[in-house]
Amino acid sequence: MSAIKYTAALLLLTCFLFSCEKVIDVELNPADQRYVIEGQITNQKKGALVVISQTTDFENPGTSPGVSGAIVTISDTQGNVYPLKETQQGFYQDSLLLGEPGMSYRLHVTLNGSEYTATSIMPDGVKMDSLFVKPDGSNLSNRERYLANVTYTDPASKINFYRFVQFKNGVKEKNIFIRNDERTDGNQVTAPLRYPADDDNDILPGDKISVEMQCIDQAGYQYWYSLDRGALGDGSAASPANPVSNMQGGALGYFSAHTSETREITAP
Amino acid sequence: MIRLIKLTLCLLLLAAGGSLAQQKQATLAGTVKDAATGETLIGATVRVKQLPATGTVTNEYGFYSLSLPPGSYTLIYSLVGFSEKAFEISLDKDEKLDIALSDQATTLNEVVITADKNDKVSSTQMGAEKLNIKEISTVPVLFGERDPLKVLQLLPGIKSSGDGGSGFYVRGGATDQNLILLDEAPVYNASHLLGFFSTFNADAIKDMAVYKGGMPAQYGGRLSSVLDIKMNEGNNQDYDVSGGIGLISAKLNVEGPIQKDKSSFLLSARRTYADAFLKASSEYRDYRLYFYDLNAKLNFSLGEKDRLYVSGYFGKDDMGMGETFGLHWGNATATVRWNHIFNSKLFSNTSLIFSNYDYNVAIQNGGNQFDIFSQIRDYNLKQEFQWFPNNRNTVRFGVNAIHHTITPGEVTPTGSSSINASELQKRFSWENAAFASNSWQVSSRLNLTYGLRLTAFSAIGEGDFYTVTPAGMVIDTLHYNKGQIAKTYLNLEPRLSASYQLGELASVKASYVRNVQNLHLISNSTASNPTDKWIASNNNIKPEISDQVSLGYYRNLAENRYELSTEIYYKTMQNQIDYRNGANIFSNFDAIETQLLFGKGRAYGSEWQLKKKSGKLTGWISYTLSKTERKIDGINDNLWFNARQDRTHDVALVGIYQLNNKWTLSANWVYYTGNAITFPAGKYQVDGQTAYYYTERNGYRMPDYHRLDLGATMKLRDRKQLKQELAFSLYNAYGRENTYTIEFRDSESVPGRTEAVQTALFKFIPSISYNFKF
Repeated sequence: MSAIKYTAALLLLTCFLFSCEKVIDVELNPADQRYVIEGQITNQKKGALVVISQTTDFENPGTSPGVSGAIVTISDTQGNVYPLKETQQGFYQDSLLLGEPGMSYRLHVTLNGSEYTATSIMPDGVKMDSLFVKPDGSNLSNRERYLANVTYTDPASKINFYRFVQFKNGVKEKNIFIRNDERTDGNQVTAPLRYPADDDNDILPGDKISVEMQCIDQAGYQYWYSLDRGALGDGSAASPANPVSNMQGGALGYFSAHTSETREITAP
Repeated sequence: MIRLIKLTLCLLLLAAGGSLAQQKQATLAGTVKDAATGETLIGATVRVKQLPATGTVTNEYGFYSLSLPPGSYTLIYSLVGFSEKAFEISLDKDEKLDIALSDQATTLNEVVITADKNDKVSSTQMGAEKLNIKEISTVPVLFGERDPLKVLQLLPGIKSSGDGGSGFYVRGGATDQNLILLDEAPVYNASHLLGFFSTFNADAIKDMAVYKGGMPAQYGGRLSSVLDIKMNEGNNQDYDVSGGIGLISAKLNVEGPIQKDKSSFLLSARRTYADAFLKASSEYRDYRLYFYDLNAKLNFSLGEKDRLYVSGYFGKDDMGMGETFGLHWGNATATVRWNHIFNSKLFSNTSLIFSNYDYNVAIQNGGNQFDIFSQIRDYNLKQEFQWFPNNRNTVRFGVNAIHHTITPGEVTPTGSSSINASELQKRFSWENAAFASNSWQVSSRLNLTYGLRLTAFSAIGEGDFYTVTPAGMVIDTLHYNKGQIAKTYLNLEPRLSASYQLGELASVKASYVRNVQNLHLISNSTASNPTDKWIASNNNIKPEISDQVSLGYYRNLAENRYELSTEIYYKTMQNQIDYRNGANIFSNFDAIETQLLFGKGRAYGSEWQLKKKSGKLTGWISYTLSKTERKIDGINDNLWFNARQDRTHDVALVGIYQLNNKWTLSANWVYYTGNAITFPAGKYQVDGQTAYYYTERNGYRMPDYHRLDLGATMKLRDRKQLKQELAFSLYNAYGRENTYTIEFRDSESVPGRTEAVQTALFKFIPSISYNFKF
């Protein structure tokens, strides 16, 4: 995986030595709008949140507003059904609903006469052992960079998937950080959260860094992986496509039951 | 199956024997060579003045055999670029006659080329293109590096995979559907530096032929084309040292006799030093980016009837960034060939071939240090006979057995690491084939070539084989022991072609060919990547099969100074491979077939070429109109979609002008419709970032591609033995920004907006190189 990214980076370097970029006009055929449902339930106090929006034409400025009027419920395998309330346009919430690791959850959305469902199993949590910021150490960029690193102990002979979300001074880093344990099963893992070098969002001394570590299920991993590889507009993907989703009924998006742990640190 | 082979051989013999009974004949056989270097000449014509309809062409080892009724004859030996040679002979028994032809390069301009038995009009082969190495050396190319694969892409029906790629598409096929042979050894990755250069060093190459259709039965294993490259044998008359120094690479070629007339050697080496520029810059001094390669060949005459060739290629690329990342990859091939002439009518070649491609990725990533190694390795035995029963028939038959070992990926931790050592199962397979064909001159106008190739591909143990549902779930695993056959695919590949002469100047040809492919390249990037994976057919992955019919018309014009050729083709392809959305083909997971989807393809088109073969100005115009589509279950709502390489129009113009004895000028211009590409139909937000919404596969096109390259070669004054020249080239002379990739992203200047950004690779790449020979 990472080999490919490095190769891509080198290829880009080669290109960079000679290449040039420019914004072009492309005429895109508009398509019918589709609903986008992002649902999550965690084992932390922020509870369950479902955000419903819509696709919009490429040329349109801004994003599409949230979609109101949906009936949203989350149910578990013990027969409990929790209705979510619309707290602001397109946001459906139950801030008291805590997920339990090992439980399977089902999202059910009724909207304009159509039904959308998805199921996700919350994996057992894996504790973050530490969070620290240190120099990159690799020569991937041509100047000294700081990266956040997370360490954790991967449980042996169990398949695990992880997602990390990094905030710098409250602003989310857009790069998608996901890992599996194919090659690190049962090990103490140090995961540097490496993202493309960019003057605007490099970590500088004094920055407040917070990292959320999520243990996600396989469907969740598959979603973030395929979103990253095929749906973020990257020009080197051979066949861009909508991400692989656990959502049934024709909506885009995902439903993820995951554990969540957040730590904060100030960059030295 | 054995019955079928017997039947085929009987049929072949029947055809051959039918005309054998006619009359007593004497056979003249021998080898045609270059007088100056002793290199055998491929495709030289042997004609009989007294019998205008009779003639033959030397085979790939320069051998010919001609059976004639006893009598006195004048034999005329000719080949483009060489002076014709006539020889009087009184033939009453079988005789051996070796001929040496002299180079006429210095007087080429004044000579009007006569109709050649081996030109497109009179040869019986269709869908074939031959590249003259002299032509290659004058066409301007990127960085001044004479690259045969780049010149090949200027021919009709052969399309470049884009800037910076040496992959090519033939008649709607993908880049892995070309069989690339270097002295019979398959080359699995023909590119250096991620495709900016090819593995073929023009200095070491003698002959290059590409078959787009009507492939002869001795070739098999890939769907869309055969590129057969033969290395020089080495001068057995005199020592030669030649070389060149360019902006980013240098090369040296040494050849000479080991024992004059009997044996020779050749050694050719190249090294790029683009990384020297990187070292000079403070920003990139930790980057490595270079390759080197080596061609070597030895050949020995072991008496009158035997000849032994040993040849090899070795190349290595190294790119990396300090300690963080290193990627090495390379091909190694070795071929040992033994030619034996049983008698004047039976020629045999036995080849023992080794082929290896591997890569190693070294990663040091925040305390994790590990290597990933992957390899494909072949051992290959080929026995071929060429039998010349009489003047009307040439029979070829033989067998070929290849043992493949694929190592998909081995992970080895190096130093401190939280990465576990792991190894994907090695995959073993046997690819066996038997083939027979006969080229039958039915009449002075009509030629028929018919043949059959039988392939048996077996996936064998040791290993686990999976039962996979259409949804991509593994439901069962079966273990096979070492050598045990898990699955065998038998396929018959008929090869038929016919040519009919319409007078002296024109001909029509038709062919039908079936090809089968059992090794498939898995890649999910638009650029050719050294880490793309080769996988073999197994119980889930079926052999790819193509059927192609083609029809052609060829005509020489204006006293053979011009040659017009046009071919149309229609091709269907079965068991084509694509990837599931979100497929992770680099996963550690063994059952890669769970990530694949299967379907079919079709391609059709028409190809035109007008070539000017003599005079001060030579060159060609080629034009291709074509369509290439795929239909894969699970992609694009199971509807037909344009393949990425589908391009409606493809134009190439190549001109070489000999201004005077000092200067040669050249130019080429290419134009093609942009590749088919997938663009989004809309956008949305996921977790606070913009994602794109897609509705159809390859529904859009890249902007059209066009480019002009200019070249000039200046001969410097000869000094005694030393010949030297300076070659200048300007790639992309008018600075067209051709699209390499198109990216969609949030606008940096206008918040909330999204924009399409095109990246272009090369704008004006000038280069200069100095070449010498003594």
